[in-house]
Amino acid sequence: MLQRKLLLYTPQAHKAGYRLEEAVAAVLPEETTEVVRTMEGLVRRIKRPHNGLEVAVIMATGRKKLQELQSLEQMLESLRTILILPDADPRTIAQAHRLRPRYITDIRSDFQDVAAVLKKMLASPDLPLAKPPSF
Amino acid sequence: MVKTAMARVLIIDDDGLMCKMLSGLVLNRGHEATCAFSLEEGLEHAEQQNFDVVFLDVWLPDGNGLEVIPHLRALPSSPEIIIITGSGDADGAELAINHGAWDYVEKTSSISQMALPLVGALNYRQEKRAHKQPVALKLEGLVGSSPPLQACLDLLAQAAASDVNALITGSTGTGKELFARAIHRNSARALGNFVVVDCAALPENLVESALFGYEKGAFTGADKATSGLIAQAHDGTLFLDEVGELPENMQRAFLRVLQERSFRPIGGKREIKSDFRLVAATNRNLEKMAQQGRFRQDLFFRLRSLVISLPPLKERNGDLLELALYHTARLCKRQGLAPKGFSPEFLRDLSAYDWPGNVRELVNVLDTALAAAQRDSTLFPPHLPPFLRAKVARGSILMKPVNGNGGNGEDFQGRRLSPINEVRKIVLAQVEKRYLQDLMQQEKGNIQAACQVSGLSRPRLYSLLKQYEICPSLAAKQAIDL
Repeated sequence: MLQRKLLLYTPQAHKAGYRLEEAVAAVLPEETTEVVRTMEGLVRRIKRPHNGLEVAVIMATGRKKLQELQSLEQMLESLRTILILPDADPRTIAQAHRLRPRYITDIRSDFQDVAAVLKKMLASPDLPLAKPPSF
Repeated sequence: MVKTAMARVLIIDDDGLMCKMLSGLVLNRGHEATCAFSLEEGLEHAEQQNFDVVFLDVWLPDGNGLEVIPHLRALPSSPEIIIITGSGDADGAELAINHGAWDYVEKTSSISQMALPLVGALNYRQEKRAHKQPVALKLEGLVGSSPPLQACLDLLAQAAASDVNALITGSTGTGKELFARAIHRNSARALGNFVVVDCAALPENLVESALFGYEKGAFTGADKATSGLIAQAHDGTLFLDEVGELPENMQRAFLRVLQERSFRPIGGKREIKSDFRLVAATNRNLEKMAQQGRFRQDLFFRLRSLVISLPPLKERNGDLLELALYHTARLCKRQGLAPKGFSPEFLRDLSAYDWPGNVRELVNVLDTALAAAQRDSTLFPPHLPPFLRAKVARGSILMKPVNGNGGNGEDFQGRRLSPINEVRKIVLAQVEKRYLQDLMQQEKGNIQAACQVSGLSRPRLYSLLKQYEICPSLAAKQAIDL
């Protein structure tokens, strides 16, 4: 059985969240991904032993959510983080960089770039090939 | 010329005349001189007293002087090393500097020529002491007090106090990103962004847009202008992690950015300035890659203005316990657990393991141990991951002699046989150890010669010598005694 390597935080019933999950599912088997839908769920999960988790993909749907994530800075330290930001405002970007993400992208993206980065980060001969990004 | 305070100088040379001459040179300048005629004797003196300078011959009866430079520099007094080379030995001189020596003198030099590096080294130490102010660095997560780590922290302080490009090298898990963040946090740019570029994670077709950003309409899908990481690092720090993975065309483009401090987004018509400070990190040998044409030499020269080489965990003597305590406390706090203690056996096993994954591996092992311990208040060996316990157990068995009389079955009476793979490994280890002992005796502790005879690379030979606890200088002494 494949180990869960990816923690995916997408809010419930959010259009961009569905797009993100679809993009991730195209490159990673479902069994390797743990999905959480609430901030409380995210906090509960990263407080527990990581047990092989390597990467966290976190979608911040608004600046308030991004602000809440700041309190998780220390707990996210041992995970490589990909952040999905609500906008490209310099203040939003500055907040994002405090979490030292390995990659950031916009919520309006089709997330093919996220899929490509994830595939490279979690490179394994067992993983299926990714679709190329749409640039 | 600045008058220096009385210094202690150690001279390690098997040539009695050279020792006498250098002693006279040192005493005439009002300093103390101590002579040693072998590496073993010299190291003994160096460990017992604080020396400021060591004159060190290369070819000694019990080994190569260059190989003990890191050991001498790691001592509390961290003496400056002046290598004594043979006349006209340019390779020896280069090797000396590459190994961390302050300078070198040729055996045939005049007294005044030999005095110059001594005076220079002593002046340097005096000035360093005079200007050394304790700096309260923000070192969140950087735990330890071993000399190798302290040396790196001194360099961190230097890097933080300036804007020079810094290159952090070290094996995986040694804390390169932690150091990069500490440089940023302690620098004048601490209020700016700390922007991470994960060169290993970015697919080649994303690197350019991620670094430089793009204008609206620059390509299909670019429906609005987006700033890149170089722009986002303006007034802050740009951290290129695994810089050795940067594609060749991006190395060229990034070199231009370093030179001009400006760039053009994809599809853009004008140059944009970005004032960032560059910190790069790698676990590869960039110099070798540059020599082999796999990394741009001109970019490499730019990156290595200040190099911090992080030691592997096994070389940070004494830091293991401090790290284990710190990270266990942190993990317990994160998981809402009561603090845990360590049993002596748990610590014994942690100390016996090699830690190829360094501090990151230690943290993962502690995380696993806490999960296994659950509500237990003390951590015991069974809480450790099985792979670690197996490796430690194998290591301890290999150190014990195995009876050779297996033919008539006497040794196996009343004992269960181990699996044949285990027996093979034990026997192979015994043969390997015997070969290495003979090799070091035959070559009188000379590592270079031993590598040539055995066909082993230097790092591999050192690793095996350490594994079997074989001391080259001791083996050489045994050869002399035979």
